[in-house]
Amino acid sequence: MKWFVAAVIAGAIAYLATGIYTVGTDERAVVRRFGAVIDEHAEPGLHIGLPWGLDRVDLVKPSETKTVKIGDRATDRAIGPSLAPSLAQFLTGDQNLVIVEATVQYTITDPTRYLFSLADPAEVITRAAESAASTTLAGKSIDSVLTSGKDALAILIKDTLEQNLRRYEMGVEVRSVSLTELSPPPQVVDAFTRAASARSDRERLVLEAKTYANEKLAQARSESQQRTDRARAEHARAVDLARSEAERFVALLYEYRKAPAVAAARMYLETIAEIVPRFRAKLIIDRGQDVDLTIMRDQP
Amino acid sequence: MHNESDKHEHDHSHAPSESHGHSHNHDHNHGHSHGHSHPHSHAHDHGHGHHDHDHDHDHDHAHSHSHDGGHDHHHHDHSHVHGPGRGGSIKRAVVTCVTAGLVGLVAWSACFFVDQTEYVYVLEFGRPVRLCVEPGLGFKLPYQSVRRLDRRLQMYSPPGSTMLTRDRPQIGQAAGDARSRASLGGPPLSVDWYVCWRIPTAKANADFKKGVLRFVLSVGSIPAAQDRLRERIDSMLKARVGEMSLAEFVSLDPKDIGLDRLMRELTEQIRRDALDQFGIEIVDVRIKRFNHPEAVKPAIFEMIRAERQGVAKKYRDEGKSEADKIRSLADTERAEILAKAAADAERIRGEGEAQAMRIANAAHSQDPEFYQFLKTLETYRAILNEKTTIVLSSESNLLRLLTDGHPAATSTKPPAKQSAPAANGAGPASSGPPGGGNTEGKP
Repeated sequence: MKWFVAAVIAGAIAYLATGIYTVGTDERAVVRRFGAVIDEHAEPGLHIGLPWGLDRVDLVKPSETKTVKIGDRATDRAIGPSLAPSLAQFLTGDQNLVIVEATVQYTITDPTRYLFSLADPAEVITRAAESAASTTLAGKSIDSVLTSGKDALAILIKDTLEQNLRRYEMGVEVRSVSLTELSPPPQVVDAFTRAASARSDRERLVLEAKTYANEKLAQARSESQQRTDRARAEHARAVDLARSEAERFVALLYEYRKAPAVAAARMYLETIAEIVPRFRAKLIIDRGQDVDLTIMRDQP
Repeated sequence: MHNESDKHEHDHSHAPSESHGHSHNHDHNHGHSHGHSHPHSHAHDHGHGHHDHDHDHDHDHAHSHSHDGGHDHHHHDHSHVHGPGRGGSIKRAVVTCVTAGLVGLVAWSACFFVDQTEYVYVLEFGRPVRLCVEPGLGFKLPYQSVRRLDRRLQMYSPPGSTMLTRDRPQIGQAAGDARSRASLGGPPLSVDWYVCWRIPTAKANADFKKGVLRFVLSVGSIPAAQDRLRERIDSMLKARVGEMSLAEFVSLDPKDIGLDRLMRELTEQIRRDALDQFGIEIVDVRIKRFNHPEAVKPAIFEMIRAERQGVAKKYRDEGKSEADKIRSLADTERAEILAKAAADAERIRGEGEAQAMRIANAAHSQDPEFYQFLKTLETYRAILNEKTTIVLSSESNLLRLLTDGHPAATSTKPPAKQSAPAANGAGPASSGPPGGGNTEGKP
């Protein structure tokens, strides 16, 4: 009997002890008594409430960032390819397919709402994020999606997601959406690679043509520069020549005018003396006399 | 019944002790309720021949600090001392035990908790009689039962189903001919949706109690509600998608896309029906994802490949034509530059010549005759060489002195000066002036 009593007392104490709980420094507790919330923000520390079955304490961490994934190909594989279209595949505006995987991070801003107004907050966020991704991608072309990159797309998805979540009043705030994967489906990735290489080919061709153009133009410019330079040089030479000749002429004239007759005779005779010896043959004939041109043949 | 409720109110103020009574009500709650609210004599009677009476005793002890049952204590003690009734006392104890157990059971069955996340419907033999909305403790008659209704927002997203879009006749061709995709609509779509719903809540609808009743009567459980919703939404969505083309789902022009409108209208449409028929409050219906069904995926991939090839070709062609354009533009520009340079050079040269001429003219015009004389002499030097044969008249001015001898006083000057250019300058330029010699080029 004693043992029984002791056991009962121990049991009673153990039971009462279930009414004692602690709240960690980074936690907040929401306390329900008989199901009704009596304390929404129990502060960190030791608390004494009613034991198990009467009070229920839910601990949440407002500072903690929770994460959900969309387009997770791991679950995709588990479901199997035959059942559903790949969970990570989305249709783009130009009817292409793109693989998108993203993680959504959120924090709890209103513990009471978060705990009691939704059956499964994580699922709601996942589905809403999927919907946001679908609707966002439906208006984008695959090329713009792939070239503008993960971050740009993530921002758009986040905006749509926040809109989607607003009406659920879940007491959470989306911190970030980040894309972990953004690529064409593996089945067609080679075609995309080829198109991308064609694109870089285009850039290469254009670049080559530009190089050619620059080269040619530079060449033409230097050539034309050379030509005009040459022309200028000729211009200068002609003028110089003319000037020097003119100076010489003027100088000669000046001297000549001092004694025109003498100067003329001297110049004339000097010239004759200079050139006549050079001639191959000199014939002197009288006026009216015929010239026998054959004699010229004998000479050479 | 009344007693019970009194007791429970009491509970609130004396939480620790009462909690004990509560949870133990199945086995020995009776001890407690006795001490508290049952007629004294009754308790006494029971307590008397109680064998299990230790139990009560200890029990009270444990809680004596918080219990105003000092009286009880006394009584128990007393009974202990006077206890040795034995014989029938064991039997009595058993009876007491059972009776107390039963009373406790009844008391327990008369109260229930309403959780923050629930509404509770009180049923009387299955007939709903009362809805408890406020979370906390509630009371009912022991024979009444409760039905708990989760009032949280529920998310339901069934697996997607394949729906035909308006462009449906072209499926076969689309699969066959990849290139014609642009002009054709699209293959059937696999559409996934989700619905957020809950049972009607006071916040949204003042008349929500009716809605909850309807839910209890016509649907009853969450899975049943989800089944109903799936049927409804699937058929509505199928009808709507059948009126839409693929371009209303996906398009590069945001104006074309009718997704948001579709979801909004669908939500409106289903909201009324669901509330009226099932007592379900729809928060929203959204399309979660849409994609080509797996069956047509190979064809789709083929199309995408063809499209990418087209894109690749376009890039290449663009590259080529752009490069050609740049090259030919460069060539043209080059030709222009060179032509302009040639013209410039010519002009500069011309200017140079003109200037040279101006300078020469300015100088020479001081004495044109002298210039001519000078130039003629220079020209002789230039044009007459060793191959030249010169035939001179013996009467020419040059040779007159040779042939005639020195004239006494005749004018040597004039002929020498005057006629030298005229007489001898014949050459190729001026042919045969009066005294001109005859020069000939080489034979």
